[in-house]
Amino acid sequence: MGGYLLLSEVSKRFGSYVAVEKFSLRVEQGEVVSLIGHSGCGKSTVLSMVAGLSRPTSGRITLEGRELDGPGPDRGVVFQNYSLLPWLTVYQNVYEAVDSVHRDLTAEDKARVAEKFLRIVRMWEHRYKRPGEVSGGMKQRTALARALAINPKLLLLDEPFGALDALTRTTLQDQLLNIWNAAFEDAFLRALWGEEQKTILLVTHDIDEAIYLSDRIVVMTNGPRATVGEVVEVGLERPRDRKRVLEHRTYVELKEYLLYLLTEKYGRQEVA
Amino acid sequence: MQRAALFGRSTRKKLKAPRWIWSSLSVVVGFLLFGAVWYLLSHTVAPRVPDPLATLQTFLELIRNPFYDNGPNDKGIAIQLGVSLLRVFAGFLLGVLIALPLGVLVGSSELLRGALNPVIQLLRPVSPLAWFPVGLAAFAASEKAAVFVIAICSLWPTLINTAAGIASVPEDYKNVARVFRFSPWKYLTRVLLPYALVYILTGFRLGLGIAWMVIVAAEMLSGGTGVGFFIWDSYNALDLNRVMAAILLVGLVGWVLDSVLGYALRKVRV
Ligand SMILES: Nc1ncnc2c1ncn2[C@@H]1O[C@H](COP(=O)(O)OP(=O)(O)OP(=O)(O)O)[C@@H](O)[C@H]1O
Ligand SMILES: [Mg+2]
Repeated sequence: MGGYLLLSEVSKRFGSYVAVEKFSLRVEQGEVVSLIGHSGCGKSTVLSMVAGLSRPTSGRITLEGRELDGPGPDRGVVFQNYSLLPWLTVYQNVYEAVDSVHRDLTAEDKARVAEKFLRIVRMWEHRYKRPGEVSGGMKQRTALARALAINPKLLLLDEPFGALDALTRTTLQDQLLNIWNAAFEDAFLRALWGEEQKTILLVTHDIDEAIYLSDRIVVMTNGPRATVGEVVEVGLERPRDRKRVLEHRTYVELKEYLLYLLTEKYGRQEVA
Repeated sequence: MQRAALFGRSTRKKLKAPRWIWSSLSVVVGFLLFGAVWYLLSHTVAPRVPDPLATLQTFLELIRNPFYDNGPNDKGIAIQLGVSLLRVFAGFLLGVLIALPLGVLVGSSELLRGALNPVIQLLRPVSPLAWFPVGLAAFAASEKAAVFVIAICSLWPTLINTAAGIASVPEDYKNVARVFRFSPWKYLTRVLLPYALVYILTGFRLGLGIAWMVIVAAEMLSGGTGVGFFIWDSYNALDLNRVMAAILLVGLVGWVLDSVLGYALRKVRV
């Protein structure tokens, strides 16, 4: 047994449709694990069960040895559709989450935390706008700031960079790695939360992103009855340098292998 | 041209003139048509009903000196309207105080919805005239009975709309509240109420309309002051001109109330 996050034979059905079946995965503390698979295979379904938002129909999920019982402040979520509250400003969306989770902080410190993370995702200048007034990428950055600002031990990210341009995407990926590595550049945050390594479960469609960020990549089979297809170890040492990674032989091989898995082995075959 | 002004959104564009000219023209045309029908009816089938010209004349007389006060049975129309408005606001507010929390409760629990829906459907269609004796029995004062009648007749749309709004809060927003551990209070004020605001305001708008409609009946029964009493008193004095003029005023005030809430609703929607 053991393992920090453990999914054992987790299944989820919606009515008569079995979306996920016997999904088993073990994630150690400090790992970054990516889930990739074709659209509709069940990645968000798995993530939302880990978030505690929906219960597995059968099977168990444990976090630090305890069976999950609903959502908790130990898990921060970036939802696939951002799920910002449209009647609150960008700032309020982050602040209300900080305010709810960090009840022991003073109002001043809560405001500072919200500000720090809005600055990290470069949304501070837009803090007075409402979600309806900003672009998809900006919504995504706000949702990321909200999830990071509650300082969760486990980050659950559902395509957190999908709507971003390449440049913003790479900077935010690096910021995420910094935070994962508990290397808050900011003295205030360092003093507040010390150095606790985070664990990340990430859904992505982007093979490059999966390789660059993860320790392991879980390729899911197609639904219905989707499950773990293949788990691919990314043997690249950390810290990773983006340029060097791209030229690395392992990287090229991994990418080819993942492409093969997604297009051939678990390619979208029409079911008769 | 009248056809175009009344019905023709598409034809309007072809008749190149600013939009507001056509819309104000259509308002004028509407009133003229209405006045013509009224005039015809009052000079044929209902000869005892004052025609629009007589009504308009009395109307102008009423609003020329609206604030005079010659003792309990003879007050200016503005005073009567003011008294009625106060009653309406008191009753409506009382209704809101009951309906809003109840609506939130009913909206968030399917069980409560099932339990209370039949009761709501049973009480909602009851006439204000029927409620009045109940109010009198309960409060032993006609003033309080009138406020009670307004409250109980006007609270249903607020209750039903609030419940519908709360019940339709999307799962995504509930998930945000769950993941980020919103307290019940924060959940109420940052998720439920903001989402349901449009529903709630729509309920207010309908409820206030009902309250204003009920006030005349309530005051005819409670007597003493208010525009309802004014109408009944004028009828007893066989002054039908004043009855008709007061009806015109009641309509105008109702229109203004509705427009204010309609405006608030548009502000919230965008
Ligand atoms: N609440 C629900 N009720 C019924 N079916 C659902 C529900 N949620 C998901 N499904 C079904 O489960 C399957 C997996 O959905 P899921 O959202 O997990 O896919 P995904 O891998 O995240 O896809 P994408 O990459 O497009 O986001 C789909 O067939 C979907 O239709
Ligand atoms: Mg998804």
